[in-house]
Amino acid sequence: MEDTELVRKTLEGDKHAYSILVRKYQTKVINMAYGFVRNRETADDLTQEIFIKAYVSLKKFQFKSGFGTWLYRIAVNHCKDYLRSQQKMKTVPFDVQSEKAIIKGDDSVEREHRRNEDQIEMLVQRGIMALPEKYKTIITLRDIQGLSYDEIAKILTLTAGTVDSRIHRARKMLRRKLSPYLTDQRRES
Amino acid sequence: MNCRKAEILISKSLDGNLSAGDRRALSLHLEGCRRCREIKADYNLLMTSLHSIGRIQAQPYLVQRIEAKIKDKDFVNPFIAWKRWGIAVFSLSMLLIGILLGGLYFSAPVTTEAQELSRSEELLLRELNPFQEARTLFEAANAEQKNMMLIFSSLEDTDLRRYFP
Repeated sequence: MEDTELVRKTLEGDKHAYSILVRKYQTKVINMAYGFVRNRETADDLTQEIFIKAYVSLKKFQFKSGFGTWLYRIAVNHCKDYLRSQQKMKTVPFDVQSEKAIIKGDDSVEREHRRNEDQIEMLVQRGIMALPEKYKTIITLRDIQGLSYDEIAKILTLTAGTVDSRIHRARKMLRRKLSPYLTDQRRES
Repeated sequence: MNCRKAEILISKSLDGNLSAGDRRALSLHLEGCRRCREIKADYNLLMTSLHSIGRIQAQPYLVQRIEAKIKDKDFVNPFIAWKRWGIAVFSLSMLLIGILLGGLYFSAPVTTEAQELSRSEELLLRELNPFQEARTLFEAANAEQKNMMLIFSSLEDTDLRRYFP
């Protein structure tokens, strides 16, 4: 069944129709939330909140865009609001050498968790978290979520040109932040 | 092509967004620029790293949790509906009351005060001097008659006295 039909049925009071939409989009939404917060439990909670928020706001859905795009917009805004509330959106200083040292010689409570994390993934994640909000958002949507330029433009209500230039700037920033690590990797291979 | 432009094209090439002309121009530049070849290699590594970031699956009970949460949520919340419509109805009522009061004020019959004032207006309309009576009083030659007139005039309607000097 089409998304629009499921939305109509939900609006008519068919809660089962909404469950079908949740099942369809839950993986994409949770990965989007995870891309922003990098924490499993928080991503779970945010996903639940996003679907409830979407359900409550469903009467505002105007069928102009796809339900998926509309839902992603809610998800992105909700995740950004969460990060702002947690004061995690501020640009944090990032240095590859010190990050490597933290990951290797970590004696904190998170040591066990970090041991299971891949070092490369950890570095890249920290690099992304250190980016300004707009670049972090766009790199999460494009290079982690794999959304198309057109989808990103609709979700963030930006022009195609802005999406294009912002993606380039975000990648350039991240490349510069991870430059020492990338150079090491290049020399090793 | 300079290195700055080349980096933009390298970034675009990661999404397969390069035209044939741009691809050729970039290849030519990369052949002669070691720094840009390194940048391209860095971008490739970066993309591999970004794509390797682990994906997670939603918890199996997520749908049930959401279903339980939305169970009691209706689209037409009476309180919200009342709040939304209540403000509009209240504003409209206040406007109607204002119009009604304004209409009553302007269409009200002439008050007693207005009638009293119209006496002097009436005299003026008839080209009569409203101060004629007072003049007569003060021009009286006989002092006794003058006093009598003053006494009688003080017994008259108060609204007339206000026109006396």
